[in-house]
Amino acid sequence: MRLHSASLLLLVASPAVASEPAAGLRYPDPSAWTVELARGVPGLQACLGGGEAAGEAVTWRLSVAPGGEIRVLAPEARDSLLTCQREALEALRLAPHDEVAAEVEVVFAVRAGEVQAPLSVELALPEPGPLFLKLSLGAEPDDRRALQEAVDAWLGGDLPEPTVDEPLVHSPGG
Amino acid sequence: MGLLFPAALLAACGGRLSAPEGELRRYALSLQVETEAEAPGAPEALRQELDRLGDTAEALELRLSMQRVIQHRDGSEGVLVRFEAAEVEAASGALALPLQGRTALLRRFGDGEILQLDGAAHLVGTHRQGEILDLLWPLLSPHPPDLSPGEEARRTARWPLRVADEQGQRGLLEATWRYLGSERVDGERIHHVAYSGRWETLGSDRLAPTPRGVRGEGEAAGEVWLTDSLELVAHDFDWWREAVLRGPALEGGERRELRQRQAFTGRLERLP
Repeated sequence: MRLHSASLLLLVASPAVASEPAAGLRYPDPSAWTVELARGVPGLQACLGGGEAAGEAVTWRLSVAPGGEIRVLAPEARDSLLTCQREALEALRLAPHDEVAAEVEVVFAVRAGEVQAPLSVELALPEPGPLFLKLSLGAEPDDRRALQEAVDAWLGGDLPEPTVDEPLVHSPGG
Repeated sequence: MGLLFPAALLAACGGRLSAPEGELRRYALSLQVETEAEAPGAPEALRQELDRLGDTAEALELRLSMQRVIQHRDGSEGVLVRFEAAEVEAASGALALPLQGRTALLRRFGDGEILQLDGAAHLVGTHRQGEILDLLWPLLSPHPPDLSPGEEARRTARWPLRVADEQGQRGLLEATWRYLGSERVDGERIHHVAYSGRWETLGSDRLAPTPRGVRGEGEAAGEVWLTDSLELVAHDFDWWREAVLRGPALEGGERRELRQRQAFTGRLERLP
Protein backbone atom coordinates (compact mmCIF):
# COMPACT_ATOMS: atom_id res chain seq x y z
CA MET A 1 0.00 0.00 0.00
CA ARG A 2 1.34 3.41 -0.87
CA LEU A 3 1.07 6.76 0.73
CA HIS A 4 -0.69 9.06 -1.68
CA SER A 5 -0.83 12.67 -0.76
CA ALA A 6 -4.28 12.98 -2.22
CA SER A 7 -5.59 10.36 0.16
CA LEU A 8 -4.30 12.07 3.24
CA LEU A 9 -6.32 14.63 5.02
CA LEU A 10 -5.53 16.11 8.36
CA LEU A 11 -8.12 18.24 10.02
CA VAL A 12 -7.38 19.19 13.56
CA ALA A 13 -9.15 21.39 15.97
CA SER A 14 -9.32 22.03 19.65
CA PRO A 15 -10.40 19.46 22.21
CA ALA A 16 -13.99 19.07 23.17
CA VAL A 17 -13.19 18.85 26.84
CA ALA A 18 -10.20 20.12 28.72
CA SER A 19 -8.97 18.59 31.92
CA GLU A 20 -7.58 20.60 34.80
CA PRO A 21 -3.87 19.88 35.00
CA ALA A 22 -1.31 20.89 37.55
CA ALA A 23 0.35 24.31 37.42
CA GLY A 24 -2.81 25.94 36.13
CA LEU A 25 -2.28 24.94 32.53
CA ARG A 26 -5.24 23.55 30.65
CA TYR A 27 -4.31 20.55 28.57
CA PRO A 28 -6.62 18.75 26.25
CA ASP A 29 -7.65 15.43 27.65
CA PRO A 30 -6.71 12.75 25.11
CA SER A 31 -9.84 10.80 25.84
CA ALA A 32 -11.93 13.85 25.00
CA TRP A 33 -10.54 14.13 21.50
CA THR A 34 -12.34 12.34 18.79
CA VAL A 35 -10.42 10.59 16.09
CA GLU A 36 -12.67 10.04 13.15
CA LEU A 37 -11.60 7.36 10.77
CA ALA A 38 -12.59 7.85 7.19
CA ARG A 39 -14.60 4.97 5.89
CA GLY A 40 -13.80 2.83 2.92
CA VAL A 41 -10.06 3.39 2.99
CA PRO A 42 -8.21 0.10 3.18
CA GLY A 43 -5.60 -0.22 5.86
CA LEU A 44 -6.88 2.70 7.78
CA GLN A 45 -6.04 3.25 11.37
CA ALA A 46 -5.32 6.22 13.49
CA CYS A 47 -4.26 6.68 17.02
CA LEU A 48 -4.18 9.77 19.10
CA GLY A 49 -0.94 10.10 20.93
CA GLY A 50 -0.29 11.50 24.33
CA GLY A 51 0.40 15.14 24.88
CA GLU A 52 3.75 16.47 25.87
CA ALA A 53 4.22 19.93 27.20
CA ALA A 54 7.42 21.84 26.60
CA GLY A 55 7.46 25.51 27.41
CA GLU A 56 4.57 27.14 25.67
CA ALA A 57 3.79 24.30 23.34
CA VAL A 58 2.00 20.99 23.54
CA THR A 59 2.89 18.23 21.14
CA TRP A 60 0.48 15.54 20.04
CA ARG A 61 1.65 12.54 18.13
CA LEU A 62 -0.69 10.97 15.67
CA SER A 63 0.05 7.77 13.89
CA VAL A 64 -1.22 7.12 10.41
CA ALA A 65 -0.89 3.72 8.88
CA PRO A 66 -0.06 3.40 5.20
CA GLY A 67 -2.85 4.83 3.13
CA GLY A 68 -4.51 6.11 6.23
CA GLU A 69 -6.58 9.21 6.61
CA ILE A 70 -7.19 10.78 9.96
CA ARG A 71 -9.38 13.57 11.15
CA VAL A 72 -8.97 14.90 14.61
CA LEU A 73 -12.04 16.96 15.16
CA ALA A 74 -12.22 20.13 17.13
CA PRO A 75 -14.21 22.75 15.27
CA GLU A 76 -13.01 25.95 16.90
CA ALA A 77 -9.49 25.72 15.57
CA ARG A 78 -10.28 24.18 12.23
CA ASP A 79 -9.49 27.23 10.14
CA SER A 80 -6.06 27.72 11.51
CA LEU A 81 -5.31 24.05 11.25
CA LEU A 82 -6.32 23.90 7.66
CA THR A 83 -3.46 26.21 6.89
CA CYS A 84 -1.15 23.52 8.16
CA GLN A 85 -2.64 20.87 5.98
CA ARG A 86 -0.40 21.47 3.00
CA GLU A 87 2.63 21.29 5.22
CA ALA A 88 1.45 18.02 6.68
CA LEU A 89 0.88 16.52 3.29
CA GLU A 90 4.31 17.54 2.17
CA ALA A 91 5.83 15.95 5.25
CA LEU A 92 3.97 12.73 4.71
CA ARG A 93 5.09 12.62 1.11
CA LEU A 94 8.61 12.52 2.46
CA ALA A 95 7.93 9.30 4.32
CA PRO A 96 10.97 7.21 3.47
CA HIS A 97 9.15 4.02 2.71
CA ASP A 98 5.69 3.46 1.46
CA GLU A 99 4.97 0.52 3.64
CA VAL A 100 5.74 2.01 7.01
CA ALA A 101 3.33 4.01 9.04
CA ALA A 102 3.87 7.72 9.29
CA GLU A 103 3.76 9.67 12.47
CA VAL A 104 2.65 13.25 12.55
CA GLU A 105 3.48 15.62 15.31
CA VAL A 106 1.14 18.50 15.86
CA VAL A 107 2.55 21.23 18.05
CA PHE A 108 0.04 23.56 19.62
CA ALA A 109 0.79 26.90 21.15
CA VAL A 110 -0.35 27.61 24.66
CA ARG A 111 -1.51 31.11 25.49
CA ALA A 112 -2.65 32.15 28.91
CA GLY A 113 -3.01 28.55 29.92
CA GLU A 114 -5.19 27.62 26.96
CA VAL A 115 -4.23 25.40 24.07
CA GLN A 116 -4.39 27.49 20.92
CA ALA A 117 -3.88 26.99 17.24
CA PRO A 118 -1.16 24.67 16.07
CA LEU A 119 2.34 25.95 15.54
CA SER A 120 3.35 23.21 13.23
CA VAL A 121 2.37 19.88 11.78
CA GLU A 122 5.22 17.66 10.80
CA LEU A 123 6.29 14.14 10.25
CA ALA A 124 8.23 12.54 13.04
CA LEU A 125 11.07 11.10 11.06
CA PRO A 126 12.58 7.80 12.07
CA GLU A 127 15.98 7.72 13.68
CA PRO A 128 18.99 6.26 11.93
CA GLY A 129 18.70 2.53 11.55
CA PRO A 130 19.23 -0.12 14.17
CA LEU A 131 22.50 -0.34 16.05
CA PHE A 132 21.68 -3.78 17.51
CA LEU A 133 23.65 -2.95 20.66
CA LYS A 134 21.72 -2.18 23.81
CA LEU A 135 23.02 1.08 25.22
CA SER A 136 22.12 2.64 28.53
CA LEU A 137 18.76 4.34 28.24
CA GLY A 138 19.51 6.40 31.31
CA ALA A 139 22.56 7.95 29.65
CA GLU A 140 22.59 11.28 27.88
CA PRO A 141 21.27 10.95 24.32
CA ASP A 142 24.35 12.73 23.00
CA ASP A 143 26.55 10.11 24.65
CA ARG A 144 24.62 7.31 22.99
CA ARG A 145 24.81 9.06 19.65
CA ALA A 146 28.54 9.58 20.00
CA LEU A 147 29.05 5.93 20.85
CA GLN A 148 26.98 4.85 17.87
CA GLU A 149 29.22 6.96 15.64
CA ALA A 150 32.32 5.50 17.26
CA VAL A 151 30.98 1.98 16.77
CA ASP A 152 30.25 2.76 13.12
CA ALA A 153 33.75 4.11 12.67
CA TRP A 154 35.33 1.11 14.37
CA LEU A 155 33.36 -1.45 12.40
CA GLY A 156 34.07 0.44 9.21
CA GLY A 157 37.81 0.48 9.80
CA ASP A 158 38.07 4.22 10.39
CA LEU A 159 39.56 3.90 13.84
CA PRO A 160 43.10 2.55 13.79
CA GLU A 161 43.67 -0.55 15.78
CA PRO A 162 46.19 0.04 18.54
CA THR A 163 49.56 -1.13 17.32
CA VAL A 164 51.30 -0.65 20.63
CA ASP A 165 49.83 -1.44 24.00
CA GLU A 166 50.16 1.98 25.48
CA PRO A 167 49.29 2.03 29.16
CA LEU A 168 46.89 4.79 30.08
CA VAL A 169 48.97 5.66 33.12
CA HIS A 170 52.71 5.52 32.81
CA SER A 171 54.55 4.12 35.77
CA PRO A 172 57.14 6.38 37.35
CA GLY A 173 60.37 6.19 35.47
CA GLY A 174 58.74 4.11 32.79
CA MET B 1 -10.40 -37.45 23.71
CA GLY B 2 -8.37 -35.11 25.85
CA LEU B 3 -8.64 -31.39 25.97
CA LEU B 4 -6.89 -29.87 23.06
CA PHE B 5 -5.33 -26.52 23.57
CA PRO B 6 -5.48 -24.08 22.01
CA ALA B 7 -5.96 -24.09 18.27
CA ALA B 8 -7.62 -27.47 17.93
CA LEU B 9 -10.02 -26.72 20.75
CA LEU B 10 -11.18 -23.58 19.08
CA ALA B 11 -11.33 -25.16 15.70
CA ALA B 12 -13.59 -27.79 17.22
CA CYS B 13 -15.89 -24.99 18.33
CA GLY B 14 -16.06 -23.93 14.71
CA GLY B 15 -14.75 -20.45 15.41
CA ARG B 16 -12.04 -18.44 13.80
CA LEU B 17 -9.38 -17.59 16.31
CA SER B 18 -9.38 -13.98 17.25
CA ALA B 19 -9.80 -11.58 20.10
CA PRO B 20 -13.12 -9.80 20.56
CA GLU B 21 -13.35 -7.39 17.68
CA GLY B 22 -12.11 -3.91 18.25
CA GLU B 23 -11.79 -4.24 21.98
CA LEU B 24 -8.95 -2.23 23.43
CA ARG B 25 -6.66 -4.18 25.72
CA ARG B 26 -4.00 -2.65 27.90
CA TYR B 27 -0.89 -4.38 29.15
CA ALA B 28 1.85 -3.56 31.61
CA LEU B 29 5.34 -4.80 30.94
CA SER B 30 7.98 -4.84 33.66
CA LEU B 31 11.32 -5.65 32.14
CA GLN B 32 14.79 -6.04 33.60
CA VAL B 33 17.52 -5.74 31.01
CA GLU B 34 21.12 -6.65 31.75
CA THR B 35 23.86 -6.39 29.19
CA GLU B 36 27.60 -6.81 28.94
CA ALA B 37 29.45 -5.57 25.90
CA GLU B 38 32.94 -6.17 24.60
CA ALA B 39 34.88 -5.14 21.54
CA PRO B 40 37.97 -7.29 21.16
CA GLY B 41 40.84 -5.34 19.63
CA ALA B 42 39.05 -1.99 19.76
CA PRO B 43 40.84 1.14 20.91
CA GLU B 44 40.82 1.71 24.64
CA ALA B 45 38.56 4.76 24.36
CA LEU B 46 35.88 2.80 22.58
CA ARG B 47 36.14 -0.09 25.02
CA GLN B 48 35.73 2.31 27.92
CA GLU B 49 32.67 3.88 26.37
CA LEU B 50 31.20 0.45 25.74
CA ASP B 51 31.83 -0.43 29.38
CA ARG B 52 30.06 2.74 30.41
CA LEU B 53 27.10 2.69 28.07
CA GLY B 54 26.93 -0.92 26.89
CA ASP B 55 27.11 -2.66 30.25
CA THR B 56 23.68 -2.01 31.64
CA ALA B 57 21.27 -3.15 34.30
CA GLU B 58 18.04 -1.30 33.74
CA ALA B 59 14.43 -1.61 34.77
CA LEU B 60 11.90 -0.65 32.12
CA GLU B 61 8.21 -0.11 32.69
CA LEU B 62 6.00 -0.06 29.63
CA ARG B 63 2.28 0.39 29.19
CA LEU B 64 0.92 -0.89 25.92
CA SER B 65 -2.46 -0.96 24.29
CA MET B 66 -3.58 -3.44 21.67
CA GLN B 67 -6.61 -3.15 19.46
CA ARG B 68 -7.63 -5.11 16.42
CA VAL B 69 -8.35 -2.69 13.63
CA ILE B 70 -8.26 -4.86 10.51
CA GLN B 71 -9.57 -8.31 9.70
CA HIS B 72 -7.75 -9.58 6.64
CA ARG B 73 -9.27 -11.98 4.15
CA ASP B 74 -6.76 -14.69 4.97
CA GLY B 75 -8.02 -14.71 8.53
CA SER B 76 -5.15 -12.72 9.93
CA GLU B 77 -5.75 -9.52 11.81
CA GLY B 78 -4.09 -6.16 12.10
CA VAL B 79 -3.55 -5.16 15.71
CA LEU B 80 -2.58 -1.63 16.55
CA VAL B 81 0.01 -1.69 19.32
CA ARG B 82 0.69 1.58 21.02
CA PHE B 83 3.39 2.39 23.55
CA GLU B 84 1.27 4.47 25.87
CA ALA B 85 4.07 4.88 28.36
CA ALA B 86 7.69 3.83 28.41
CA GLU B 87 10.01 4.63 31.26
CA VAL B 88 13.36 3.55 32.53
CA GLU B 89 14.53 3.83 36.11
CA ALA B 90 17.49 6.19 36.02
CA ALA B 91 19.60 7.63 38.81
CA SER B 92 17.56 10.81 38.61
CA GLY B 93 14.26 8.94 38.75
CA ALA B 94 11.88 7.60 36.11
CA LEU B 95 12.90 8.77 32.66
CA ALA B 96 10.45 8.76 29.75
CA LEU B 97 11.74 6.93 26.70
CA PRO B 98 11.29 8.04 23.11
CA LEU B 99 9.29 4.89 22.49
CA GLN B 100 6.46 6.56 24.35
CA GLY B 101 3.63 7.53 22.03
CA ARG B 102 4.88 5.34 19.16
CA THR B 103 2.57 2.98 17.36
CA ALA B 104 3.08 -0.09 15.22
CA LEU B 105 0.72 -2.39 13.40
CA LEU B 106 1.12 -6.08 14.13
CA ARG B 107 -0.31 -8.46 11.58
CA ARG B 108 -0.89 -11.89 13.04
CA PHE B 109 -3.20 -14.82 13.11
CA GLY B 110 -5.54 -15.30 16.02
CA ASP B 111 -3.44 -18.16 17.37
CA GLY B 112 -0.54 -15.75 17.82
CA GLU B 113 1.46 -16.46 14.68
CA ILE B 114 3.14 -13.23 13.62
CA LEU B 115 3.26 -12.32 9.95
CA GLN B 116 4.44 -8.75 9.81
CA LEU B 117 5.07 -5.58 11.74
CA ASP B 118 4.42 -2.22 10.12
CA GLY B 119 5.94 0.89 11.59
CA ALA B 120 9.17 -0.67 12.85
CA ALA B 121 11.06 2.35 11.49
CA HIS B 122 9.65 4.39 14.32
CA LEU B 123 10.70 1.95 16.99
CA VAL B 124 14.36 1.28 16.23
CA GLY B 125 17.50 3.36 16.62
CA THR B 126 19.94 4.63 19.18
CA HIS B 127 17.36 6.06 21.53
CA ARG B 128 14.27 3.93 20.89
CA GLN B 129 16.06 0.56 20.75
CA GLY B 130 13.11 -1.39 19.43
CA GLU B 131 15.57 -3.66 17.65
CA ILE B 132 16.81 -4.76 21.06
CA LEU B 133 13.31 -5.09 22.45
CA ASP B 134 12.23 -7.25 19.51
CA LEU B 135 11.29 -10.01 21.94
CA LEU B 136 8.31 -7.84 22.81
CA TRP B 137 6.38 -9.14 19.81
CA PRO B 138 6.42 -12.85 20.65
CA LEU B 139 5.81 -11.86 24.26
CA LEU B 140 2.67 -10.01 23.22
CA SER B 141 1.69 -12.63 20.69
CA PRO B 142 2.88 -16.06 21.83
CA HIS B 143 2.23 -18.89 19.43
CA PRO B 144 1.80 -22.17 21.30
CA PRO B 145 1.04 -25.39 19.44
CA ASP B 146 -2.01 -27.58 20.02
CA LEU B 147 -1.58 -29.25 23.39
CA SER B 148 -3.45 -31.77 25.49
CA PRO B 149 -3.08 -31.74 29.26
CA GLY B 150 0.32 -33.06 30.24
CA GLU B 151 1.46 -33.12 26.65
CA GLU B 152 4.56 -31.49 25.18
CA ALA B 153 4.97 -30.26 21.64
CA ARG B 154 7.52 -28.28 19.69
CA ARG B 155 6.90 -25.19 17.66
CA THR B 156 9.07 -22.72 15.80
CA ALA B 157 7.88 -19.14 15.90
CA ARG B 158 9.28 -16.43 13.67
CA TRP B 159 8.79 -12.71 13.76
CA PRO B 160 10.18 -10.16 11.33
CA LEU B 161 11.14 -6.63 12.26
CA ARG B 162 11.57 -5.07 8.85
CA VAL B 163 12.54 -1.42 8.81
CA ALA B 164 13.29 -1.09 5.12
CA ASP B 165 14.33 -3.29 2.23
CA GLU B 166 17.85 -3.70 3.50
CA GLN B 167 17.32 -2.88 7.12
CA GLY B 168 15.81 -5.20 9.66
CA GLN B 169 15.97 -8.46 11.47
CA ARG B 170 14.03 -11.58 12.19
CA GLY B 171 13.64 -13.51 15.38
CA LEU B 172 13.15 -17.21 15.81
CA LEU B 173 12.06 -19.19 18.82
CA GLU B 174 12.32 -22.95 18.57
CA ALA B 175 10.70 -24.14 21.74
CA THR B 176 9.09 -27.06 23.49
CA TRP B 177 5.72 -26.15 24.97
CA ARG B 178 3.94 -27.84 27.84
CA TYR B 179 0.35 -27.55 28.97
CA LEU B 180 0.29 -27.00 32.72
CA GLY B 181 -3.43 -26.78 33.33
CA SER B 182 -6.33 -24.38 33.49
CA GLU B 183 -8.32 -22.59 36.11
CA ARG B 184 -11.32 -20.30 36.28
CA VAL B 185 -10.64 -16.71 37.22
CA ASP B 186 -13.63 -14.41 37.55
CA GLY B 187 -15.68 -16.79 35.45
CA GLU B 188 -13.08 -16.93 32.70
CA ARG B 189 -11.12 -20.08 31.95
CA ILE B 190 -7.40 -19.39 31.86
CA HIS B 191 -4.97 -21.83 30.26
CA HIS B 192 -1.45 -22.07 31.62
CA VAL B 193 1.37 -23.17 29.33
CA ALA B 194 5.14 -23.04 29.55
CA TYR B 195 7.93 -23.12 27.00
CA SER B 196 11.68 -23.26 26.75
CA GLY B 197 13.95 -23.36 23.77
CA ARG B 198 16.45 -21.69 21.51
CA TRP B 199 16.25 -18.03 20.57
CA GLU B 200 17.93 -16.80 17.43
CA THR B 201 18.21 -13.37 15.86
CA LEU B 202 19.49 -12.55 12.42
CA GLY B 203 19.59 -9.02 11.12
CA SER B 204 21.41 -6.47 9.06
CA ASP B 205 21.52 -2.79 8.29
CA ARG B 206 22.97 -2.15 4.85
CA LEU B 207 21.73 1.42 4.78
CA ALA B 208 23.85 2.56 7.73
CA PRO B 209 27.01 4.57 7.06
CA THR B 210 28.81 1.39 8.03
CA PRO B 211 26.78 -1.60 6.91
CA ARG B 212 26.57 -4.24 9.57
CA GLY B 213 25.01 -7.54 10.42
CA VAL B 214 23.96 -9.08 13.68
CA ARG B 215 23.56 -12.64 14.78
CA GLY B 216 22.16 -13.48 18.16
CA GLU B 217 21.91 -16.86 19.77
CA GLY B 218 20.55 -17.70 23.17
CA GLU B 219 17.75 -19.30 25.10
CA ALA B 220 14.23 -18.38 26.04
CA ALA B 221 11.87 -19.69 28.67
CA GLY B 222 8.54 -18.51 29.90
CA GLU B 223 5.08 -19.18 31.19
CA VAL B 224 1.97 -17.91 29.47
CA TRP B 225 -1.62 -17.56 30.58
CA LEU B 226 -4.26 -17.35 27.84
CA THR B 227 -8.04 -17.25 27.67
CA ASP B 228 -10.13 -19.68 25.67
CA SER B 229 -10.04 -17.23 22.78
CA LEU B 230 -6.25 -17.08 23.06
CA GLU B 231 -6.20 -13.60 24.44
CA LEU B 232 -3.02 -13.01 26.40
CA VAL B 233 -3.52 -12.63 30.13
CA ALA B 234 0.05 -12.77 31.38
CA HIS B 235 3.51 -13.80 30.26
CA ASP B 236 6.48 -14.39 32.56
CA PHE B 237 9.73 -14.58 30.66
CA ASP B 238 13.46 -15.15 30.96
CA TRP B 239 15.30 -14.72 27.69
CA TRP B 240 18.96 -14.11 26.86
CA ARG B 241 21.15 -14.01 23.79
CA GLU B 242 24.70 -13.37 22.78
CA ALA B 243 24.56 -10.80 20.00
CA VAL B 244 27.51 -10.46 17.65
CA LEU B 245 27.60 -7.30 15.60
CA ARG B 246 29.86 -7.54 12.54
CA GLY B 247 31.08 -4.81 10.26
CA PRO B 248 31.85 -5.06 6.55
CA ALA B 249 34.91 -6.84 5.23
CA LEU B 250 37.93 -4.57 5.48
CA GLU B 251 41.16 -4.80 3.54
CA GLY B 252 42.51 -8.28 3.92
CA GLY B 253 39.05 -9.65 4.60
CA GLU B 254 39.03 -8.75 8.28
CA ARG B 255 35.65 -8.10 9.88
CA ARG B 256 35.48 -6.28 13.16
CA GLU B 257 33.05 -7.47 15.80
CA LEU B 258 31.31 -6.22 18.87
CA ARG B 259 29.66 -8.63 21.24
CA GLN B 260 26.99 -8.13 23.79
CA ARG B 261 25.22 -10.49 26.10
CA GLN B 262 21.64 -9.33 26.50
CA ALA B 263 19.37 -10.77 29.20
CA PHE B 264 15.69 -9.94 29.61
CA THR B 265 13.47 -11.02 32.46
CA GLY B 266 10.08 -9.81 33.51
CA ARG B 267 6.33 -10.03 33.30
CA LEU B 268 3.76 -8.86 30.82
CA GLU B 269 0.29 -8.58 32.24
CA ARG B 270 -3.15 -7.61 30.98
CA LEU B 271 -4.60 -4.69 32.87
CA PRO B 272 -8.21 -4.66 34.01
